[in-house]
This record gives sequence, C-alpha cells and structure tokens, in this order.
Amino acid sequence: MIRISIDAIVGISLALTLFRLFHGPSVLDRLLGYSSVTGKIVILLAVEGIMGGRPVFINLALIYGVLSFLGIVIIARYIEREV
Amino acid sequence: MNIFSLILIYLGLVAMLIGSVGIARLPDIYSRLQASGASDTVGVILILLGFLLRNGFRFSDSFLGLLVLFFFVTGPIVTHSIAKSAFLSKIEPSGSRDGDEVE
Repeated sequence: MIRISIDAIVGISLALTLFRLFHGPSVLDRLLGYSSVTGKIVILLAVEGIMGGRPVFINLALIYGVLSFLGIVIIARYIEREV
Repeated sequence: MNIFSLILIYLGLVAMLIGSVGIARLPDIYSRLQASGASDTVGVILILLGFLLRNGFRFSDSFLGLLVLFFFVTGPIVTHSIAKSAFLSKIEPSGSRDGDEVE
C-alpha cells in the first residue's frame, strides 16, 4: 500500500517532467527535464531495492546517478562553448 | 517502516510533486531552474533519508547514505552549470525590465 502510493506520486511527477523533456523549446530546457527525470528514476530504483527485496537495485541507483551527473555537466559545458 | 520515516518520505514526495508542477508550468528557463534545483535535491534527499530511518540496519544502507551525500553535492552543481550555460548563450528572461538585460 505504501509502495503503491509512493510509485503513483513519483509517476505523476515523472509525467509532468517528461512533458518538459519532450516539449521544451530550447536544448537547455530538454537538459533540465532530463536532469529531473533521472532524479525520479533514481527514486524508483531505490524503492524497488528497498521495498521489493532486491538490494542490488540500490547499487544500480548509485551508478545511474553518477553517470547522469557526468553526462549533464558535460553536455551543458559543450552547449556553452558552442554558441 | 516507522512513523518518522513515513513523515520524511511523504514530505519529500510533496516537494517533488510541487517542483514538477513548477517545471511544467513556469514560463522561463531561469524560473524552471529555480523550481527544479530546489525541489529535486530536497525531494530526493528527504525520501532517501526516510528510507535510511526505517527499522533495522542492513548492509545496503551504506550505499543509500552514499547516495544521499552524492545528491547533496551534485544537485547544486547541475543547476549552476545549466544556468551558466543559459546565461552565456544569451537567453533572455521573459518579461525583463530595464537594467536586467543579459549582456
């Protein structure tokens, strides 16, 4: 019951953020939407790892957070030098 | 799940939901960055702290604490790098007044 409510609220925020990711006018809006989507996916992975009884997913959340951070910072600096 | 962890988890969920409404609705990339940078860091950290405070300690909780420290450091870095990139790309804020122009 607790897990269903957590997943539902994170899913609603994920839908609102995916709208910005697909619809955003500039590239930086899409990058902002991507950085927010990865935060929600980290939460979903941690919920699966703790309440689903599979603790490997917490390590997956850690690796996913590190890689998405590197990608976002590098893409932001590339766009800044592009203009 | 005791009561403190449930309180922290639902506070984080409320912060995350409000921030997502802000990301979808606000008119400008700088205001969207403000909504995203405040709410994502606070939401993720509160939900993971709520998971840390549940009953009993397991080995995987150490990775959870590492994730909390990581998001505490990298959330402001991401927001700052996107805002710097938007400023250097000369994106105008919507409804800018005199004296507020991007150079």
